[in-house]
Amino acid sequence: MEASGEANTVEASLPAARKKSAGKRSGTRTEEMETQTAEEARVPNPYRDSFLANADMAAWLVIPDTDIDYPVMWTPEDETYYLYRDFEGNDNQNGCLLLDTESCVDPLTTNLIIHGHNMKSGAMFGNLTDYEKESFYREHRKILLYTEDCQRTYEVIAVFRSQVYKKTEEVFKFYKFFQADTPEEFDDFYQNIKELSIYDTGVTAEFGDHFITLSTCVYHVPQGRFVVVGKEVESGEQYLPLQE
Amino acid sequence: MKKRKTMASLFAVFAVIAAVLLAPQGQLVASAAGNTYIVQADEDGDWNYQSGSVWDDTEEGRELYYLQQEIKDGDLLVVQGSGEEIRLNVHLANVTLTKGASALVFANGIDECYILSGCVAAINGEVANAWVYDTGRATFNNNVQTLQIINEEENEPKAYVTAKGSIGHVIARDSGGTHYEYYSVQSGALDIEDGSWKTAEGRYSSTPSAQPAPAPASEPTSAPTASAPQPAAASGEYDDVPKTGESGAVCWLLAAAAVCLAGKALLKRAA
Repeated sequence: MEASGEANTVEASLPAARKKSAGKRSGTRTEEMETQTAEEARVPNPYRDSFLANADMAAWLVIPDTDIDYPVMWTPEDETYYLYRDFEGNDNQNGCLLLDTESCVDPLTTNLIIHGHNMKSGAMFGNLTDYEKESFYREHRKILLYTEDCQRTYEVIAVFRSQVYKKTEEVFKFYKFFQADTPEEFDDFYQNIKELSIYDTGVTAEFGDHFITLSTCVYHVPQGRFVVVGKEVESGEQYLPLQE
Repeated sequence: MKKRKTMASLFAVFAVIAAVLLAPQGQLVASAAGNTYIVQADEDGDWNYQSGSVWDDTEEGRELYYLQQEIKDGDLLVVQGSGEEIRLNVHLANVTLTKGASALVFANGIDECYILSGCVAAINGEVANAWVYDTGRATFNNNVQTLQIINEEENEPKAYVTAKGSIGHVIARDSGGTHYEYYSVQSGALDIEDGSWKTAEGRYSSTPSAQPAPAPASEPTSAPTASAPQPAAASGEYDDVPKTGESGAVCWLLAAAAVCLAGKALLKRAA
């Protein structure tokens, strides 16, 4: 990718070792020490150059051992600006991955929905449908998202086919779920994606968890969509401010 | 002499198509326009498919369901055998019915549709260019821009063709030259029986300058195997979600360019 930062591959972008914070203890001094430790643990963002090159970039998405290794653009004023434009804004059939305008990485919404073209070449989300095979899922459970502040790791929780429905249809619409303020809202999404999933991943979730939803066009029905949902399972490294 | 020239020009067109589509071993290569699949009906009338344009009897076919998952805009489809409907929610670059196929095809649109002699088809979806050969029978349930009735085996066309939609341009040709040529056939008016033009007077034009035919009629057909598809809902009816299908614009332009070049060559040879 032309928009690459200091590192493009998962191997290159992951730290050699992850510093773990000390166990929780009471006392002001201890908390201060923990804060200091956390500050010291911050590392330079591996995609710093890309973030600085284009302020529309909200994150960088990687699915290890696949070709999915792309910037994710967020343009709330015009959601489809990068649908047929590359990172530099030039016309491009592949477009860029798009973070839904109603999703947000800071503050983090319960669900981050990322749209991408299903290209014959396999570019963008052209190979996302590989997840239809459970064997592929078993080898590619992790989804990594690098934001300005930190790296987030998700584990695939559900894989299914759905569609964009008519406005008047009152059915489960995966693309309408962004924020769960109540357990009921959360459970509605969670139960539906688990029911729709074409195989059981064994991964569970509860109110307070965060999701990432990857969506691309498929053609089993008009306005079809192939969807992979991941649940955030661990917080990765924290990054230094971009300007440092 | 004229007959020979016409045959030669037809052969040239097919040679070009074959050169584009066929690899040395007779296997269709994936052209820039898309992948090619062949569907064949089994003894129960269920459709199975394989990749390529030639059915390999030594290989198992997969159920149509999986093709519906796999196929994409711009892909090509070859149909042989007789079965029930083939419903593909994509825009196909090419649909060819061959070897006496009988099928009800649903697509979101078709750039080129060939119905070869002895085949029976009900085509649902807008068609840019259609060819019906010899004894082929076709019902087009949506609009067709250009329809050609071709006869290679006899001296007169023998096809049966009707349409629920409008037809922009109809040409019937045989080895002796153009049999008839009409324009702007109104929705539901086209009627070709045994190759003869039976379309009601006043519902088509003899000159290309006529106004375009009105939009296709929406009433359902009485023929059970030729039901019109549900009209696609206007995009405004759907929730607002980015459309992440691959754009087929380039494929369509390439197909249009190929048709123009072939037409030009034909005209040149005929002259």
